[in-house]
Amino acid sequence: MIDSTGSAIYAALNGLAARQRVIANNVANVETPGYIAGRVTFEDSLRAAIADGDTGATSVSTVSSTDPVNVNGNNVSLDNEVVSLTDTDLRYQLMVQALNQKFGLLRTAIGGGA
Amino acid sequence: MLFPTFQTASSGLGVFRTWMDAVSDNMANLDTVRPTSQAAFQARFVVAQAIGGGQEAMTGGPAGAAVTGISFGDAAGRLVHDPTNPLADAQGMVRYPDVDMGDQMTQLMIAQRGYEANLSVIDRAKDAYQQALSIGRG
Amino acid sequence: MALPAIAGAAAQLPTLPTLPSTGQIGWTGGTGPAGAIPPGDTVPAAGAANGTQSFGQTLTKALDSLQGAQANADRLAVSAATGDLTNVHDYMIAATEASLATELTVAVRNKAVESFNQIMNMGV
Repeated sequence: MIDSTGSAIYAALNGLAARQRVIANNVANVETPGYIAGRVTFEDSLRAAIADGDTGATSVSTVSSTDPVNVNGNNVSLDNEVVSLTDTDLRYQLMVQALNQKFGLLRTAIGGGA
Repeated sequence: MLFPTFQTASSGLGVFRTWMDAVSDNMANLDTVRPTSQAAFQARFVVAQAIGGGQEAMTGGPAGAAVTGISFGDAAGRLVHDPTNPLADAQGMVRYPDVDMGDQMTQLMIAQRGYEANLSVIDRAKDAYQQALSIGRG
Repeated sequence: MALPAIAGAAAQLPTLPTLPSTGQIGWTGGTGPAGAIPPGDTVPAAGAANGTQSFGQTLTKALDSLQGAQANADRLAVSAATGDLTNVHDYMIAATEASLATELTVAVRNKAVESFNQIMNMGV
């Protein structure tokens, strides 16, 4: 998509959207006995892919959280999930802005007469 | 870290949440009676420390607070004369925990204020970052 | 084709504002891509005020600074995508710079083409 920067942004958007879904799942299961929270990681894979020059090879993976469990066997910490959600939300907005900016540059160059 | 303030405030939330958990544990066990042959229920105290220092926080390094351990209160407790209690010893004494409800309530209020203060930090930081995201738009 | 009339046409161009050098923005480097950001070239004011530079040189400089601004914005965007950027506003400012530089370059190009067409349409 456009260039390597654009595909890095796209990969980040995918990763952040996946993270948002997993966080929503965690929050929904905050009282479920025996539920282990999920965590999405894509940043390391993205960094490696950028270094290799092939950002399309980024993988988004979900791992189980290693936080301690409470008496129910549930290890979801509501504070962490809410903070994580806020962070993911803002980063998603930032990535959308970045993509808009890239498209905007092209549009300006094409449009010319503006 | 893209938004370091959130990590810092989240660590603060963790510390105050643990504090509130400890206080609720103490309050739940206000009347836990033990025979004099055993130690009394010991009050829980949360030990917290700062993560990193002021310099790292300014450049996005580690910052915030962390719980580094739980320490326990007096094991001797209060000796109370209560011969009707099935756990009473030959002299009719039992051990009550050395937990003062007034003190625990005060701690609970302080912990709650601290928790809310950290929530407010997250809220304000989110507003600030959203303003930053609108730089250059129209 | 260096007609003397071009000097007059160049004087009708809008005065180009000076873009701030990106080196002055406090990007601390973080753990993003290695190497410091090269400071972007400032675009000197065109027209009669700066008679020592030819119009072609001015245009080339504007285009070069555009490249630098766009590359800078791209670098910071990638660093933001991996979560390594420390200050969000650094990227937003660099992106705005790149957008404005693009618009500026497009405006200069349009004016230049317009002037050229006007000259070509003058009766010989």
